[in-house]
Amino acid sequence: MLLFFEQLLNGLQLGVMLFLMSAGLTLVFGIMRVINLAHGSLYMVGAYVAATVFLHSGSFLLGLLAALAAAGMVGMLMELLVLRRLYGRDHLDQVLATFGLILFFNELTVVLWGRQPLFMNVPELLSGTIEVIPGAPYPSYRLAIILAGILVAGFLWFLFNHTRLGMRIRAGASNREMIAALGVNIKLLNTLVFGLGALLAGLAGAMAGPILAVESGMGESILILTFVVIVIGGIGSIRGALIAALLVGMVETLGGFLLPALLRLFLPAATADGAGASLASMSVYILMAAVLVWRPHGLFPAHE
Amino acid sequence: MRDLLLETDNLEKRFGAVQASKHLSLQVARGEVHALIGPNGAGKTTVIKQLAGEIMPDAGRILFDGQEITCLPAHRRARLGLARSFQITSIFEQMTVAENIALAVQAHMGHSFRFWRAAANDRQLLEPTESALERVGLEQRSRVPAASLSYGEKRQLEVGMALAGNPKLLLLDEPMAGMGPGGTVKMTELIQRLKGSLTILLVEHDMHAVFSLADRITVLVYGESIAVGTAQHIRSHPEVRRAYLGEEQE
Amino acid sequence: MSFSPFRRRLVLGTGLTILLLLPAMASFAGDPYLITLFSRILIYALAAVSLDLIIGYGGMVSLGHAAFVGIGAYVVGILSFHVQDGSLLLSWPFELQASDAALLVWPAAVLISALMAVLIGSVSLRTSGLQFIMITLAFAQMLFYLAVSLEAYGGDDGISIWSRNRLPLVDLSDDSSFYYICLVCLLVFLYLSHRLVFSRFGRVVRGAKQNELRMQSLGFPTYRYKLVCFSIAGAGGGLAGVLIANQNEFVSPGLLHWTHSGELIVMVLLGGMGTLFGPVFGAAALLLMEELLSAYTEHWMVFLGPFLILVVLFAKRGIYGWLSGAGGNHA
Repeated sequence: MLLFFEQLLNGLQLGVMLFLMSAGLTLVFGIMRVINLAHGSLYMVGAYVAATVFLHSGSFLLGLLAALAAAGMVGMLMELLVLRRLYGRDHLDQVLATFGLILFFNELTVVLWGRQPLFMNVPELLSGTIEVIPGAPYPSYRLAIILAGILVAGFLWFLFNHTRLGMRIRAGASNREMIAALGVNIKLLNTLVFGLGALLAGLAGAMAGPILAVESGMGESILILTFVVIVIGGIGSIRGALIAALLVGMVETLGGFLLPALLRLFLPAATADGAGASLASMSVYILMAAVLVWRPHGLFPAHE
Repeated sequence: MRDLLLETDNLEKRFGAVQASKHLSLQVARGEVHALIGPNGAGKTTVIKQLAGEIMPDAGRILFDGQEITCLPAHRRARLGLARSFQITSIFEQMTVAENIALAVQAHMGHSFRFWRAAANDRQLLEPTESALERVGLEQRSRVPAASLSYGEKRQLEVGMALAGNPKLLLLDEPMAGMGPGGTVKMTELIQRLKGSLTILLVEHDMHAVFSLADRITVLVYGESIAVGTAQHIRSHPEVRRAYLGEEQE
Repeated sequence: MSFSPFRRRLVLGTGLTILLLLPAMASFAGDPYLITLFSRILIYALAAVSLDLIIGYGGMVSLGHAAFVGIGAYVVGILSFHVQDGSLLLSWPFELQASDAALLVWPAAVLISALMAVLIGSVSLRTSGLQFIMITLAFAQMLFYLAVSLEAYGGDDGISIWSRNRLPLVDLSDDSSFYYICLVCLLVFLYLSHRLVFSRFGRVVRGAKQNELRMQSLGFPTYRYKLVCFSIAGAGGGLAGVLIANQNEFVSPGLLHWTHSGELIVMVLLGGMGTLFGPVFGAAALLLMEELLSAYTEHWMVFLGPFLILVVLFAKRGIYGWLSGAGGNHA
């Protein structure tokens, strides 16, 4: 039972990461109608910069700030140089160009940092464990991630519900013509939204550093889960992204834990573990397929 | 009781706070040209979309040729003989004029899971395609890419595609939209020629065209039918004059 | 649009002549590696042509085509594993012997790929646009993880194939013979696609790409036509997978990885989308470029990435369009 709670927290933590990734991306999809495969590259940039600055300065906070700055800047540059030219074009062009960006960034990190993964320590302050549930110590770093996610969600909620800028962005995500009608400087707004998305991706990457190996191509597995989240949540919807991120995080984590156990009830142990593991790795995608059969536009479609 | 080809029974459609169709009961007799008129925002296109199966009504029934079609998808209705033209020209720009028509012909010749023979040399398609081209007066332009037609010709092609399957009912959604006076005359003549050979439900803003073509007219205001009758009857109908014609007479 | 039949014939004739004479040229140049390289090009060309059927003609931007390539390859790999092992492919509900006879294995692999395409397509095609791209990607990724989790078949490490499939009269282990088999497969698939694209079916699919709503109001249940097109493309991808497995004598989950799907899209666009022969040129260009660049630097992708962006922004017609003066959707 304690193990179950631990897995639940792990699922929550993955969900938070996915939310950070998908909040920005879903807005980019919603407002600019552009598919950006290179969003995962921003996550990777965040992780690499955080790891490097942390290694050299010894300060996690400095690493985190550097990661945010780097990801935000790279993101805005990306928008200015490449994505801006792709708005309104065929999705196929967007796929191909941003695929080109991925290849570029993956190889660039290899050139700069080599093929060996970097390992990043958990900051001193958060290296211990906390007993959230009595008898089940949980790493405080992972709790900090969950907390950070809650803070960001709160910040976004405030931004989109109580500030002029945020409300305009949200209006734009559900109705693009609206933005032009309101007389907003669209070019600037696009760059800002993109920068915000990049910042959040960079934050996710920097926080993932101490948990995962920092290596070239690390952005892609989370990118694909992020897509799943966005599709389930409904393109352009922050609320949908939040709910779907938590859902996907839970299914992904608990699936790997529960499915083998469940199958053991009526299959031999070895077969059950094998089948359970395959089912678990597929469960998120099965979830997505199920949601789409039920609601082709996702749970909370922002359009229409 | 006259022979009805199309009948709607208390159609209801809402978009949020807007009631686009309200207790709408429409009756189109076989062989007539029936016009649907009303001020902007009266819900005319919404009716066409519900009849064609592009959106589903919230409540009510649609009967076509003695059969309930309320829940049928668009392609099934088309197969039953309910064709429509679009207000915004909706043709296959990258294909030739003949290919556009041939696609419409093909739609009514059984399934198209035919993978081998080149459609361009398909005898079964050629003959009906040519006759449909002649009907709308585009036989000289058959090899031209649709994208390079003039606006008026595109409108003709639009109607030609709807005609190609020999439908029982033709829904024409503002066929004269955006046309100059010459084009309007041409289109009016085209519809006049079609009159009698099939039933037409015409949505149109050009009142001159409507009064010269329509056997009967239904007036729609805020999604509700306020009057039905001959051109004569509608012209003199007090409620229509107040709600609709009064606004139009500048 | 300048469209010159003569130029087109010249380009295609030259290309075909090079492909037909390649093994002879390779042995003349004393470089047998050329045969391996060009076999690879032919196989990827086949995969890219099949992808172009859905992207270029059907307007269905699939970012998961590598899944079908992977399925075809895994069918060959799994069967050869059992043949080598001497074990049964299935012991329940009925006993099924594995086989390495190409005439049996290849059609089975193609069929299974097509069936999987029906399955994946039937869910994915309920959506369009952005969602369709992401769903096809997600399905491919799902199969990728499935392949990784197949512990019995090597998991992450994949399956080594001890010998290529057997074909009567032709020795597939001979690289020249294998090359010609690949060429025949590609040419046959190109011919079938040519018939398909200009048939009634092809017209419906092209129409659905340009204006799906209008197709429905004309009376076409477009979903079914798109689904059939999707599964034909899946079959083509499966055949390419069969050939890849035989060429490499090895299959691994990497074949299903989404970057592989991305590369196939690159080939289609580079060569010329919506042209039958374009993807062949695209596959050749990408693989040759990879070969040349990697001779100079191991970090050649740093150059490939920006190159792709430039292609998208400035060279939409693709190599084939540029060589032959033909635009998309004509041949």
